[in-house]
Amino acid sequence: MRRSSCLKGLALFSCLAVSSLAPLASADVKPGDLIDQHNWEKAQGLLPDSVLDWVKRGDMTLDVQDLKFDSSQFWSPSALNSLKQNVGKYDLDDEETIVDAETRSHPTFIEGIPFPAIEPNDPKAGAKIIHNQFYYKYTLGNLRFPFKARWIGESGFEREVECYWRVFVMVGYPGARALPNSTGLERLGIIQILSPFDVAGTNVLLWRYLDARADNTFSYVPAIRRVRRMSSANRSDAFIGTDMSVDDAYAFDGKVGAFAWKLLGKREALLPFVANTPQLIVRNENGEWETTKDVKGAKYSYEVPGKKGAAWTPTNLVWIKRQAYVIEAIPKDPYYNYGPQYLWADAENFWLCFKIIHDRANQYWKTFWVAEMPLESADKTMHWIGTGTHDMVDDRRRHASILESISPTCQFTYYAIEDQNDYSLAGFQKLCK
Amino acid sequence: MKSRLRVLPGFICFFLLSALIPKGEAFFLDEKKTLKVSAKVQTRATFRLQAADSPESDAGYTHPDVQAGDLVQHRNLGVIEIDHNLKNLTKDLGPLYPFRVLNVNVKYHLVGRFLYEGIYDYGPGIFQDVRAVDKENIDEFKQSYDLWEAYADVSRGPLFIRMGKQNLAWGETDIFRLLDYINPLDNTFGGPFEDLDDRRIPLWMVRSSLNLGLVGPVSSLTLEGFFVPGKMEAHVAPWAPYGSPYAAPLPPLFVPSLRIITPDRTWSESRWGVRIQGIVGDNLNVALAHYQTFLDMPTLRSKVLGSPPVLADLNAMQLWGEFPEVRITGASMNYFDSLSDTVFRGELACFWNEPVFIPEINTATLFGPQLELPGPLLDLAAQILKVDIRDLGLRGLPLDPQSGSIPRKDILRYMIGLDKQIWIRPLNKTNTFFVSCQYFGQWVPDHDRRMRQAALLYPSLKDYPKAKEFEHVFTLITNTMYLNGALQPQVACAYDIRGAILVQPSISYLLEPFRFLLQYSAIQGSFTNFGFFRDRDQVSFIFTYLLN
Repeated sequence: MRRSSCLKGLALFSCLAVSSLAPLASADVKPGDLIDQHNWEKAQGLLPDSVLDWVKRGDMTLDVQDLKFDSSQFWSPSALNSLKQNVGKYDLDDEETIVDAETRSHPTFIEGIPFPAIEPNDPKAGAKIIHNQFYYKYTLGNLRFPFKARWIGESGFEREVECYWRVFVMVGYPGARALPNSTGLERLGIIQILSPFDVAGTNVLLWRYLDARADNTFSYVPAIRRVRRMSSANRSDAFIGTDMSVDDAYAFDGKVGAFAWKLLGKREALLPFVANTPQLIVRNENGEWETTKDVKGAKYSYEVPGKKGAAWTPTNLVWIKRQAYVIEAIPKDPYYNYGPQYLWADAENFWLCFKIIHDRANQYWKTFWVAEMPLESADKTMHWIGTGTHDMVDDRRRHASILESISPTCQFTYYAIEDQNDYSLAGFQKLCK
Repeated sequence: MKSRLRVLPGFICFFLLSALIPKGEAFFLDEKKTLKVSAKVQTRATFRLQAADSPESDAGYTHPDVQAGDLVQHRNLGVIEIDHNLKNLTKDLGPLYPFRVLNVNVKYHLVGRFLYEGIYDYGPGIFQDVRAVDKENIDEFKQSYDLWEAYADVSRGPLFIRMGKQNLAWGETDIFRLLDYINPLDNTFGGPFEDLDDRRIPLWMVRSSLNLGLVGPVSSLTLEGFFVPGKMEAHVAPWAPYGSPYAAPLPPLFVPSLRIITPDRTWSESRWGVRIQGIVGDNLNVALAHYQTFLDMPTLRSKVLGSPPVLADLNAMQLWGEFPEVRITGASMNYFDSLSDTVFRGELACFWNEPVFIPEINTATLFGPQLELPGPLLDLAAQILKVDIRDLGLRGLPLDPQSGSIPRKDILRYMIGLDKQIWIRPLNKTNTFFVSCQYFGQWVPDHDRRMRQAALLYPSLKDYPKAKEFEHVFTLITNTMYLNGALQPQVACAYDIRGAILVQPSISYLLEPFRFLLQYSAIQGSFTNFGFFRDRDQVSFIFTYLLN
C-alpha cells in the first residue's frame, strides 16, 4: 500500500519533471551574461531547480560563455570511430546489460560507444545513455589519478582524505581487445587511501562484470590486517563519511541494471565547464597521456579569501548553453537509500553533469554535479572531456563533499600502463601492510 | 632515572622528525611523491572500574590489589612510518639499474615505534611498588623504541615477495584467531581489551605470492607462502610481568618458580606455511592453508631440577611455560549473497598435536609416589615454610620426583560468521549499521576428561576450570557513522556459553588532526576463557594526534 502511494507520487513527480522540460521564455541567456541572485530568472528552466535555488540564494554566480572549440570532436579516436560503426549494433536485455542486437548474446568486447544514436522514444534510451557515459571513459583506457576527498561546511574547509584511484579497463578501447577476459569483466578498480594516518593503507578492490552479476568488492583495512570481503549491495551508503555514496562517483557509478531508467526528455540547459578552451594533455615517456600542472583547476569559494557564496561552490567555472538529456532513475533495491534520482546528461557526449537526489519519501535531498574539462594534445590530434569537478551538496544539512578533480595538484593519467596482476587477489596484497 | 634517559632520545628524534611534517596531508620528501613520511602520537589513559580480585580482597589471584578508580594504563606511543617506492630511483641509481632492466618493482616500508608506559613512574603507588620489587624487569617492560616494521617488496608481474620484519594475517576471523596464528600477540599491555591488530608483533620473515590467474573454474588463483627462519627469529608472545595490570591471575606461591622458556633459535623452530586461494564461480572465495607456528599462551609443566630421590626442597621444582611448535591445517571461505546482501564467512582449522594442560601429566611431580608425612608434621612444615603442601594436593614429599610432560591433542576449531550492513533509518539516515556476528566452536575429538584450562580457581592451588570437549563462543560487532564520519559509535561483545561475557562499547570522534576515543570494557561471569579477566573492568580515554 505504502509502495503504491510512493509509486503514485513518483508518477506525479515525473509528470511535473517532464512538464518542466518545456522551454521557458525567460531562458534568454547568451555568452557574456553573469547570472546571480539579482537576475536568476534568466537561468530559469535551464538548470535543475536545486541549482537554480543556489543562484537565487547567492551561493553561486554563473558566468555564461560559449565554447572556443568544436566539442563534437572531443572523443577518443576509438569513440569517434564508433559513432558511426556502432549504430544499431547493440541493444539491452531485460537486465539492462548490453547484448548484440542480432544474436542477443553478451559481447565479450565492445570498442567505442555502444549506443551512439539515442532514439527519444526508445523505452531503453535512459539506460543506453548511462551505458554510453561509462564507455566514454572506457575509451580513454586505463586511468589513474590522485585525489582528495574534502569535507566542506558552511564555515569552510573541515577535513580531507587523500586517495589514489586506479582503473583497469577491459572493454571500450583497442588496447583492451587482446586481454584475456573469460570471466566477463568490464573493469577493475582500486582505491587507495594515503592519508590521514589512521586510515592510510585502506584499499578497496572492485571487480565489475559485463553481465548482471553483482560486483565483487574486497577491502584491506590496516586495523584488521587482512583482505575482507565487502557487500557490494549497499552502494548508497556514505563513502568514507562524505556526503557522497559509492554510486555517486561521476554522478552515477552503479550497476545499470539495479535501476529502472526512463528518458524524460531533451532540453536546453546550462552545463558547467571548468574552461571553455581545451587544457593541455601531454604524452609521457611511457606512452601514457597526462594532464599537466598548468591546467586550470576549479577554485572553490573557501579557497578564495573574501569570496562570497557557499564555501563549496567553484568560483571560476563557465556555463555553456547546451542540449541535455534528463533521465529518471528509480532504484530497484527497496533498501537503497535514495528515492528517485534525476540525471542531466550532456546530449553531445553523454557526460552526466547533474544528479538530483530525492530521499525515499520523494523529498529533494542532495545534488551531485560534475563540470566538464576539455582536454587536448598540443598537436590537436587527441582530445576528449575529463572530470573538472566532482561535488555533492546536501541541501538539507547545508554541507558538501568535494572529490578533487583535474587540477595542478591532481594529474589524471589516461591510457595508463597498468599491470593487471595488481587487480588480482594476489596483486592486491602488494598494497597491504 | 637512567631508564628515562634511555627513552628520551627516541622521543626527541620522533618529535623533531614529526615537526618537519606538514599537517593534514601525506608528506612526500620528493617531487615525484615516491618517498612518504607519516606519523602519529597517542596517549592512552585507562582507569580500573572495579577492585581487583586479589589475595588482599580474599577473592582471586590478581596482583596487585588495584582499587576502583586507579590508573592502570598511561601508554604513550609514537609511530613514524616511511614508505619509499624505488621505481624512479632505478632510472638514476646505478646499483638499482638491474631492477629496471628486469622490470622489477621495488619499494620498502619502515616503522619506528616509541613506547612509554607511565604508571610505574608516576601512577598509583601499588604500581610503583611493583617496579620497586622487580625494577630491572619492569624498566625493560615499560618502555621501548624499536624498528617495529622493516620490509622490502619486490614484485614482477604475478610474483610478489616481501622480505623483512612484518605482519601476516590469514583467515577470516575477527577478535579470535584460527588460521591467523602466524605472528605472536602482545597481550601484556592491554590484554583482551586491546584491538587485535595493536597486539600483533611483527616477525622477520619472507613471504611470497604468485598470481596463477584463471585455472579451470577458479579465478584469481593465488599461491602463497611464508618462512620465518627459526635460527634468527624465535619471538613468541611475551608474558606479562607479575603485578602488571594485565597479567594473568597467578598465585603468589608460584611466581618465584615460574620460568618462561622461549623456543630455541634453531631451524626446526622456524615458522612456515603455504596457502592457496581463489574465487570459485565468481563469488565463493576459498582458501586452504597449512602452517607451523607457536601459540600465544605457553604450556605449563612442572620441572624438577636435578634428580633428587625425594623432593624435600620445593625450590627444586619449577613451573615452566613452554612454547612447543604447532602445525595447523585449515580452510576458510567467504561468499557474498546478493539476495540477503550478506557476506558469509567461515573457517575451519585443525590444530595438530596442540599442547594441552592435564594437571596429572603436566604437573606429574605432584601426582607421583609420595613419602607420606603425619598431619602434625605437615602442620609444622606449613608454619615454617608458609606453604601448606596439602594445598597442592600432596600428602607428603614426592618420591623420585619426575618432571611433568606436555600432552598433546588434535583440536578442531571452526567459525561461521556473517557481515551485513543494515539501514536503521530512525537512528541514522545517511549511514548503514555494520553488523558482524561470529560463532566460534572447538572440538577435541580425543578429549580427556582431565583436561583443564591453565588458571587456578581461587582459593585452590590445585583446581582448574575444565576444558570441555566442545567449547562455544559468540561475538558481535556493530558500528555506524554520524556527522559525516566524524563520530563513530561501536559496540563489541563476546559471549562464552559457559557464562563469560565481554562487552566493549566505544565512541570515537575526530577533529582534525586529533582523534578521541572513549571506550568502556567489562567482563562478567564465569572464570573461564576471557573470564579470567573478569576483575578488570575499565574505561579508557585515548587521544591521538596525527601529524599527517
